[in-house]
Amino acid sequence: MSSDQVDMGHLTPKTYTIIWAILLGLLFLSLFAGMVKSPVLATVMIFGVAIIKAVMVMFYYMHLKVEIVYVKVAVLAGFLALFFFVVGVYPDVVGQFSK
Amino acid sequence: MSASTATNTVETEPMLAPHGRLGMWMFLASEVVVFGGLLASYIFARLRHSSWDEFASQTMTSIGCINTVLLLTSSLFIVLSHHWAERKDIKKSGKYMLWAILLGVLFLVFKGYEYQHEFAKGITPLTNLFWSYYFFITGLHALHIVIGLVINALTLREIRKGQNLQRVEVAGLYWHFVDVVWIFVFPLFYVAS
Repeated sequence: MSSDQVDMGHLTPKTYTIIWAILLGLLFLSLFAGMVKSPVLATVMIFGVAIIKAVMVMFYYMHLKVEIVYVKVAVLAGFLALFFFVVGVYPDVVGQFSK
Repeated sequence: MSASTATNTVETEPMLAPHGRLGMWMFLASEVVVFGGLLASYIFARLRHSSWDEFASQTMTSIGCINTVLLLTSSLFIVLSHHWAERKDIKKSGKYMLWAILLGVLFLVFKGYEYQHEFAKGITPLTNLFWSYYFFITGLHALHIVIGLVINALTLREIRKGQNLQRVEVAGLYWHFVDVVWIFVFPLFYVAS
Protein backbone atom coordinates (compact mmCIF):
# COMPACT_ATOMS: atom_id res chain seq x y z
CA MET A 1 0.00 0.00 0.00
CA SER A 2 1.36 3.41 -0.92
CA SER A 3 1.75 6.10 1.73
CA ASP A 4 -1.09 8.24 0.30
CA GLN A 5 -3.77 5.63 0.86
CA VAL A 6 -5.96 5.13 3.88
CA ASP A 7 -5.14 1.97 5.81
CA MET A 8 -8.44 0.12 5.50
CA GLY A 9 -7.20 -2.62 7.83
CA HIS A 10 -9.63 -5.49 8.03
CA LEU A 11 -12.07 -4.19 5.39
CA THR A 12 -12.41 -6.81 2.67
CA PRO A 13 -14.97 -7.38 -0.11
CA LYS A 14 -16.76 -9.75 2.27
CA THR A 15 -16.97 -7.03 4.96
CA TYR A 16 -18.30 -4.51 2.43
CA THR A 17 -20.94 -7.00 1.29
CA ILE A 18 -22.02 -7.69 4.89
CA ILE A 19 -22.37 -3.93 5.48
CA TRP A 20 -24.46 -3.68 2.29
CA ALA A 21 -26.74 -6.47 3.56
CA ILE A 22 -27.12 -4.66 6.90
CA LEU A 23 -27.96 -1.41 5.05
CA LEU A 24 -30.67 -3.22 3.07
CA GLY A 25 -32.02 -4.72 6.32
CA LEU A 26 -32.16 -1.23 7.82
CA LEU A 27 -34.01 0.03 4.73
CA PHE A 28 -36.77 -2.52 5.29
CA LEU A 29 -36.79 -1.66 9.00
CA SER A 30 -37.45 1.99 8.10
CA LEU A 31 -40.33 0.90 5.82
CA PHE A 32 -41.75 -1.09 8.72
CA ALA A 33 -41.31 1.96 10.98
CA GLY A 34 -43.45 3.95 8.55
CA MET A 35 -46.35 1.65 9.40
CA VAL A 36 -46.08 2.13 13.17
CA LYS A 37 -49.24 3.79 14.49
CA SER A 38 -47.53 6.13 16.96
CA PRO A 39 -46.26 9.17 14.96
CA VAL A 40 -43.58 10.00 17.53
CA LEU A 41 -42.23 6.43 17.66
CA ALA A 42 -42.39 6.13 13.86
CA THR A 43 -40.49 9.42 13.36
CA VAL A 44 -37.81 8.46 15.90
CA MET A 45 -37.40 5.02 14.29
CA ILE A 46 -37.34 6.32 10.69
CA PHE A 47 -34.75 9.02 11.34
CA GLY A 48 -32.78 6.89 13.80
CA VAL A 49 -32.41 4.24 11.11
CA ALA A 50 -31.47 6.89 8.51
CA ILE A 51 -28.73 8.26 10.78
CA ILE A 52 -27.36 4.76 11.45
CA LYS A 53 -27.32 4.03 7.70
CA ALA A 54 -25.56 7.33 6.90
CA VAL A 55 -22.93 6.75 9.60
CA MET A 56 -22.30 3.21 8.31
CA VAL A 57 -21.76 4.46 4.74
CA MET A 58 -19.48 7.27 5.92
CA PHE A 59 -17.46 5.11 8.32
CA TYR A 60 -17.06 1.96 6.23
CA TYR A 61 -17.55 2.88 2.55
CA MET A 62 -16.02 6.37 2.78
CA HIS A 63 -13.47 5.10 5.33
CA LEU A 64 -14.04 8.10 7.61
CA LYS A 65 -13.40 5.82 10.57
CA VAL A 66 -9.74 5.47 9.59
CA GLU A 67 -9.23 8.88 7.94
CA ILE A 68 -6.63 11.39 9.10
CA VAL A 69 -7.65 13.98 11.66
CA TYR A 70 -7.73 16.87 9.12
CA VAL A 71 -10.49 15.15 7.15
CA LYS A 72 -12.49 14.43 10.32
CA VAL A 73 -12.17 18.10 11.30
CA ALA A 74 -13.36 19.22 7.83
CA VAL A 75 -16.42 16.99 8.04
CA LEU A 76 -17.12 18.07 11.61
CA ALA A 77 -16.88 21.73 10.50
CA GLY A 78 -19.55 21.07 7.86
CA PHE A 79 -21.90 19.53 10.39
CA LEU A 80 -21.19 22.30 12.93
CA ALA A 81 -22.01 24.96 10.32
CA LEU A 82 -25.27 23.14 9.63
CA PHE A 83 -25.99 22.86 13.36
CA PHE A 84 -25.49 26.61 13.89
CA PHE A 85 -27.69 27.34 10.88
CA VAL A 86 -30.49 25.23 12.31
CA VAL A 87 -30.11 26.69 15.82
CA GLY A 88 -29.96 30.18 14.30
CA VAL A 89 -33.25 29.91 12.44
CA TYR A 90 -35.07 27.85 15.08
CA PRO A 91 -36.29 30.89 17.09
CA ASP A 92 -37.92 32.26 13.93
CA VAL A 93 -39.64 28.94 13.33
CA VAL A 94 -40.93 28.81 16.91
CA GLY A 95 -42.07 32.42 16.51
CA GLN A 96 -44.08 31.49 13.43
CA PHE A 97 -45.71 28.65 15.37
CA SER A 98 -46.80 30.93 18.17
CA LYS A 99 -48.52 33.41 15.80
CA MET B 1 18.40 22.56 4.71
CA SER B 2 18.75 21.47 1.09
CA ALA B 3 15.81 21.42 -1.29
CA SER B 4 15.79 17.62 -1.49
CA THR B 5 15.71 17.30 2.30
CA ALA B 6 12.80 19.73 2.51
CA THR B 7 10.88 17.74 -0.12
CA ASN B 8 11.48 14.51 1.75
CA THR B 9 10.21 16.09 4.94
CA VAL B 10 6.92 16.96 3.26
CA GLU B 11 6.53 13.55 1.63
CA THR B 12 6.97 11.66 4.86
CA GLU B 13 4.66 13.92 6.88
CA PRO B 14 2.13 11.42 8.29
CA MET B 15 -0.66 14.00 8.75
CA LEU B 16 -0.97 14.81 5.04
CA ALA B 17 -3.57 13.30 2.73
CA PRO B 18 -3.45 13.35 -1.07
CA HIS B 19 -4.73 16.67 -2.35
CA GLY B 20 -7.49 15.04 -4.38
CA ARG B 21 -8.96 13.18 -1.42
CA LEU B 22 -8.60 16.10 0.97
CA GLY B 23 -10.13 18.46 -1.60
CA MET B 24 -13.08 16.15 -2.15
CA TRP B 25 -13.71 15.93 1.60
CA MET B 26 -13.62 19.74 1.86
CA PHE B 27 -16.12 19.96 -1.00
CA LEU B 28 -18.37 17.35 0.60
CA ALA B 29 -18.26 19.23 3.92
CA SER B 30 -19.67 22.26 2.08
CA GLU B 31 -22.30 20.06 0.45
CA VAL B 32 -23.41 18.95 3.93
CA VAL B 33 -24.44 22.56 4.54
CA VAL B 34 -26.24 22.82 1.18
CA PHE B 35 -28.31 19.65 1.46
CA GLY B 36 -28.56 19.80 5.26
CA GLY B 37 -29.88 23.36 5.06
CA LEU B 38 -32.45 22.41 2.44
CA LEU B 39 -33.63 19.36 4.37
CA ALA B 40 -33.76 21.28 7.66
CA SER B 41 -35.80 23.99 5.94
CA TYR B 42 -38.18 21.33 4.60
CA ILE B 43 -38.54 19.72 8.06
CA PHE B 44 -39.35 23.09 9.66
CA ALA B 45 -41.91 23.84 6.94
CA ARG B 46 -43.47 20.40 7.26
CA LEU B 47 -43.83 20.80 11.03
CA ARG B 48 -45.96 23.86 10.30
CA HIS B 49 -48.15 22.15 7.70
CA SER B 50 -49.80 18.96 8.92
CA SER B 51 -51.69 18.78 5.62
CA TRP B 52 -48.39 17.87 3.91
CA ASP B 53 -48.78 14.30 5.19
CA GLU B 54 -51.44 13.84 2.54
CA PHE B 55 -49.11 15.12 -0.22
CA ALA B 56 -46.26 12.93 1.05
CA SER B 57 -48.54 9.90 0.82
CA GLN B 58 -48.86 10.59 -2.93
CA THR B 59 -45.15 10.03 -3.61
CA MET B 60 -44.27 6.61 -5.03
CA THR B 61 -42.76 4.74 -2.07
CA SER B 62 -42.10 1.62 -4.14
CA ILE B 63 -39.97 3.58 -6.64
CA GLY B 64 -38.20 5.38 -3.79
CA CYS B 65 -37.46 2.00 -2.20
CA ILE B 66 -36.12 0.54 -5.46
CA ASN B 67 -33.94 3.62 -5.95
CA THR B 68 -32.56 3.25 -2.42
CA VAL B 69 -31.59 -0.37 -3.15
CA LEU B 70 -30.00 0.75 -6.45
CA LEU B 71 -27.91 3.47 -4.79
CA LEU B 72 -26.82 1.28 -1.86
CA THR B 73 -25.78 -1.47 -4.29
CA SER B 74 -24.04 1.08 -6.50
CA SER B 75 -22.11 2.30 -3.44
CA LEU B 76 -21.06 -1.30 -2.74
CA PHE B 77 -19.77 -1.65 -6.32
CA ILE B 78 -17.83 1.63 -6.12
CA VAL B 79 -16.11 0.62 -2.88
CA LEU B 80 -15.26 -2.75 -4.44
CA SER B 81 -13.89 -0.94 -7.49
CA HIS B 82 -11.71 1.12 -5.14
CA HIS B 83 -10.63 -2.02 -3.27
CA TRP B 84 -9.42 -3.69 -6.47
CA ALA B 85 -7.92 -0.48 -7.88
CA GLU B 86 -5.66 -0.31 -4.84
CA ARG B 87 -4.52 -3.83 -5.64
CA LYS B 88 -3.92 -2.85 -9.29
CA ASP B 89 -6.52 -5.34 -10.51
CA ILE B 90 -7.74 -3.22 -13.40
CA LYS B 91 -10.17 -5.81 -14.74
CA LYS B 92 -12.14 -6.22 -11.49
CA SER B 93 -11.95 -2.52 -10.68
CA GLY B 94 -13.32 -1.61 -14.12
CA LYS B 95 -16.07 -4.24 -13.89
CA TYR B 96 -17.37 -2.92 -10.57
CA MET B 97 -17.13 0.69 -11.72
CA LEU B 98 -19.18 -0.17 -14.81
CA TRP B 99 -21.87 -1.83 -12.66
CA ALA B 100 -21.95 1.22 -10.37
CA ILE B 101 -22.50 3.44 -13.41
CA LEU B 102 -25.26 1.21 -14.79
CA LEU B 103 -27.13 1.25 -11.46
CA GLY B 104 -26.78 5.04 -11.34
CA VAL B 105 -28.33 5.28 -14.81
CA LEU B 106 -31.12 2.95 -13.69
CA PHE B 107 -31.74 5.25 -10.71
CA LEU B 108 -32.29 8.15 -13.12
CA VAL B 109 -34.61 6.05 -15.28
CA PHE B 110 -36.81 5.28 -12.26
CA LYS B 111 -36.66 8.91 -11.16
CA GLY B 112 -37.72 10.02 -14.63
CA TYR B 113 -40.61 7.54 -14.56
CA GLU B 114 -41.66 8.91 -11.17
CA TYR B 115 -41.57 12.53 -12.39
CA GLN B 116 -43.50 11.58 -15.53
CA HIS B 117 -46.14 9.86 -13.37
CA GLU B 118 -46.48 12.98 -11.21
CA PHE B 119 -46.68 15.35 -14.17
CA ALA B 120 -49.40 13.12 -15.65
CA LYS B 121 -51.41 13.65 -12.44
CA GLY B 122 -51.02 17.40 -12.88
CA ILE B 123 -48.46 17.71 -10.09
CA THR B 124 -45.70 20.23 -10.86
CA PRO B 125 -43.20 22.24 -8.78
CA LEU B 126 -45.74 25.08 -8.82
CA THR B 127 -48.62 23.01 -7.39
CA ASN B 128 -47.82 23.96 -3.78
CA LEU B 129 -44.88 24.43 -1.40
CA PHE B 130 -44.59 20.71 -0.60
CA TRP B 131 -44.14 19.80 -4.27
CA SER B 132 -41.75 22.73 -4.74
CA TYR B 133 -39.56 21.25 -2.00
CA TYR B 134 -39.97 17.75 -3.42
CA PHE B 135 -38.99 18.64 -6.99
CA PHE B 136 -36.19 20.99 -5.94
CA ILE B 137 -34.51 18.62 -3.46
CA THR B 138 -34.93 15.43 -5.51
CA GLY B 139 -34.02 17.36 -8.68
CA LEU B 140 -30.83 18.75 -7.10
CA HIS B 141 -30.01 15.24 -5.92
CA ALA B 142 -30.62 13.86 -9.44
CA LEU B 143 -28.30 16.57 -10.81
CA HIS B 144 -25.61 15.32 -8.41
CA ILE B 145 -26.23 11.81 -9.71
CA VAL B 146 -25.70 13.01 -13.29
CA ILE B 147 -22.45 14.76 -12.30
CA GLY B 148 -21.37 11.61 -10.42
CA LEU B 149 -22.06 9.47 -13.47
CA VAL B 150 -19.87 11.74 -15.63
CA ILE B 151 -17.07 11.57 -13.02
CA ASN B 152 -17.42 7.78 -12.78
CA ALA B 153 -17.39 7.38 -16.57
CA LEU B 154 -14.19 9.44 -16.81
CA THR B 155 -12.70 7.39 -13.96
CA LEU B 156 -13.66 4.15 -15.73
CA ARG B 157 -11.74 5.34 -18.79
CA GLU B 158 -8.68 5.93 -16.58
CA ILE B 159 -9.08 2.49 -14.99
CA ARG B 160 -9.15 0.83 -18.42
CA LYS B 161 -5.96 2.70 -19.34
CA GLY B 162 -4.46 1.58 -16.02
CA GLN B 163 -3.73 5.21 -15.13
CA ASN B 164 -4.55 7.45 -12.16
CA LEU B 165 -6.14 4.65 -10.16
CA GLN B 166 -6.12 6.87 -7.06
CA ARG B 167 -9.02 8.76 -8.69
CA VAL B 168 -11.30 5.79 -8.05
CA GLU B 169 -11.27 6.63 -4.35
CA VAL B 170 -12.05 10.32 -4.97
CA ALA B 171 -14.87 9.48 -7.39
CA GLY B 172 -16.15 6.95 -4.86
CA LEU B 173 -16.23 9.53 -2.06
CA TYR B 174 -18.51 11.76 -4.14
CA TRP B 175 -20.76 8.82 -5.09
CA HIS B 176 -21.09 7.65 -1.48
CA PHE B 177 -22.03 11.18 -0.44
CA VAL B 178 -24.83 11.23 -3.01
CA ASP B 179 -25.96 7.95 -1.46
CA VAL B 180 -25.87 9.46 2.05
CA VAL B 181 -28.04 12.38 0.89
CA TRP B 182 -30.60 9.96 -0.56
CA ILE B 183 -30.64 8.05 2.74
CA PHE B 184 -32.20 11.19 4.28
CA VAL B 185 -34.30 12.24 1.28
CA PHE B 186 -36.02 8.84 1.12
CA PRO B 187 -37.60 8.84 4.61
CA LEU B 188 -38.47 12.55 4.45
CA PHE B 189 -40.45 12.35 1.22
CA TYR B 190 -41.43 8.69 0.86
CA VAL B 191 -41.75 7.03 4.27
CA ALA B 192 -42.77 9.70 6.79
CA SER B 193 -46.27 10.16 5.41
